[in-house]
Amino acid sequence: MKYAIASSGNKAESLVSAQFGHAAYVAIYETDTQELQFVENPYSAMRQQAGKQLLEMLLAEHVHFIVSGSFGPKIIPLIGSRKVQLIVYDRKGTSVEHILHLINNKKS
Amino acid sequence: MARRKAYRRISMMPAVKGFQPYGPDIDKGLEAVRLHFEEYEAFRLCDYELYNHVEAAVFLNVSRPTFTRIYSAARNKIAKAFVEGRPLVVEGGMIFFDHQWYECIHCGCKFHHTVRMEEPTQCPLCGGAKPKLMVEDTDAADKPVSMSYCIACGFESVIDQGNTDTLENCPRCNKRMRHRGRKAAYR
Repeated sequence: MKYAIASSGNKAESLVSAQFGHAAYVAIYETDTQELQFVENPYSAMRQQAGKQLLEMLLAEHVHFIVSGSFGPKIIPLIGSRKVQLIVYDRKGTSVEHILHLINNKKS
Repeated sequence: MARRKAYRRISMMPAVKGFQPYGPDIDKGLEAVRLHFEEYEAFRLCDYELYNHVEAAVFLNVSRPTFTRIYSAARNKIAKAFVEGRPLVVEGGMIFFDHQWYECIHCGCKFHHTVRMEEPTQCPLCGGAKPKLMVEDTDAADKPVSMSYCIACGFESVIDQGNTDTLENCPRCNKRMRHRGRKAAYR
């Protein structure tokens, strides 16, 4: 399973971004290989449609889950029929590490 | 600046993305008619579920007159597609979903559930069992609501969209309720 986490920095201690489209980096984590990779968000400076573009980019990467502090109202209608799940984690001061900890200790 | 459109609540996504005309004489170059999700939903509620406009307006979380406008736009567009032989695409609109957000009681995350009409059994983040269905969408929380208050005791309540013209009496003291924001000149 592939997780994308909207992050405000490019380290594991960085906080989860409060916004999806305007996140500085996106952490892509593959659970099978436990590989973590930070990708810079090329659309973070865009005033509009940043989330939509970023979503297209992540869909091209075949991401299964997207974690962010929040998603804009334009993203939610887009997701309707796509094979991706949005996860909102809006507790203040959550780091990417904490999310990875939750994923790794997932009971299945 | 014009007033922003209120988000319309969608209870069910359409089964398909659109419709194509078929037959020997179809003109492939014709532009598709874009039916908005809220128009599709209005059409479904009125003509498939057979609700009247007042009931359907509550489902869509808009007022009755707004519902009637959305519904007539839907019929207009569907008729246009049928008569002119255009493809019909269901897309766009100011909408939010009703039954697709769940909250995990273990890690506190909220997640979007993609499989329709089926309850999720575990949280996708921590694997915790039995996620709780969220009643309102996260975007709906900061949406402005109409409020009413009691003149005698100050009791406040939220007025249902689509039901703004009839104010109920105060449940505590049974006095008349008043719209929040109504000017003093009316007194």
